[in-house]
Amino acid sequence: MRGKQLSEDLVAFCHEQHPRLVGALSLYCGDADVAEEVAQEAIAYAIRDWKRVRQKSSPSAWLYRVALNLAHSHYRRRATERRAQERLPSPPAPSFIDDVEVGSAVRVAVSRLHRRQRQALVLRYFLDLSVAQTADLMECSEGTVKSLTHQAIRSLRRSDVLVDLVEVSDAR
Amino acid sequence: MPADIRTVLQGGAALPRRPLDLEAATLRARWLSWLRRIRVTAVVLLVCLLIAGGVPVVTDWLETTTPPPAGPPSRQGFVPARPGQPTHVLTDLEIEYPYLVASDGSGGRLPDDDCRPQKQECRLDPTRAAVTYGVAWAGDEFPGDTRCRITLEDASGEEVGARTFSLTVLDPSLVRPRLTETAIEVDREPSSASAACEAGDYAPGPGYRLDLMEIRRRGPQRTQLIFEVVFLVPEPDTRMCHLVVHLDDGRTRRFDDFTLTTRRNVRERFTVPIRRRSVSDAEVSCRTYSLD
Repeated sequence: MRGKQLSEDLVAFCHEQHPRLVGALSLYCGDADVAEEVAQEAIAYAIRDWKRVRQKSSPSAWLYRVALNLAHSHYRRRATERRAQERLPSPPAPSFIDDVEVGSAVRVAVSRLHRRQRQALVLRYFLDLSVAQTADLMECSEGTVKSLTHQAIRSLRRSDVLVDLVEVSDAR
Repeated sequence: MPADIRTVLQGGAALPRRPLDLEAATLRARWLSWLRRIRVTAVVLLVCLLIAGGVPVVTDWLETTTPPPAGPPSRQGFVPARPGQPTHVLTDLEIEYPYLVASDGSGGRLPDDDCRPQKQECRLDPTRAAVTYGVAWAGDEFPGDTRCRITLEDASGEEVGARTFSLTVLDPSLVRPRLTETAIEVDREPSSASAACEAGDYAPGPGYRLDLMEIRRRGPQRTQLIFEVVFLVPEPDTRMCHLVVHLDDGRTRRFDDFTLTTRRNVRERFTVPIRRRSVSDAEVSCRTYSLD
């Protein structure tokens, strides 16, 4: 990342991945603003490490992993801030769920899932990664990915907005 | 109508409200790159510092674990006891200079008939001085093992030699003529001597536990009792102990108090004038050393 000009393949990669990343992160975080912020940060990491990242078999998978890690770090910071504020005598700050943009019931429903379920769901069905790729990225077995996505969909079915949801096959 | 999860997620995902700002991302990437270099440099520096700092630590450790050299010990770390603290006090310091070395290697303050330089039976060593002193406890309490330091000074008050050594004296006042003597290396002739001792760290309590290991017959009228010594504190120092032997007929025999200063995990043996077949058990009890 020493040159001032970004290589063409890097620019193309960033532009291609940015909307997908924002979408995936908005589902994962439940907050479009946070999603854009984290996506921008993940892209910065990709620019910094592009020489190394471009050699990988799937640069996009690397980017998703970085983005999810950054989102998770963001959550942790928020949780710490919330706990600190709760100790103060002032009224507690709104929780993560309360912060969620009201515009999308889907994002609200997804954001209520367990973190690992959210990860599996977003990676598998939004970013369209295979079970194997998802398992590799989440550092777990393929069976765990299937189980997590199944649990996630079952939980989503229980929410009012997603009662009609059908599960797609995990064959791929 | 049932919905496909992919469709649902696509519909729920937010679209970027702002286009990707590649310039800002590039600037951020540069900052992240610098940050990483700073971190790496900091880690390397920290490791170097740890290595550099570790050498003196290891050296200190080696100095404390290896026996001191024959020369005068260092003054470093010597803290004289404050008034009221249990310690030894060195009294009646006297200097003999130069040091007299007898032909057999012994030396110091020798009786005149043992050393006659004019007869070449001993020689004078101007690099050393002999210092004799008495010892007393600072109070009524046995101070345990203490480190003491004798400093020799010339007429101008400048230090010409010193020696630090460990001292444990069970007598509360060991005075002249039962003097103790030490040889101290000096640069030149000393004219005065001063001494100080550190506070003792004698721990209260029994200090040792003696577990009976074996009862052995040692002749027709004698029995040997073998105990294993267990430390109850790190360095118990001297303790006052007594032996009690339990006999078959239910009686006990208590033997005189004795002092015990021993090493960890050694076996202490006592032979008592009692028939082996009369002895059923034995125990040793210890307490802090006292003159009572």
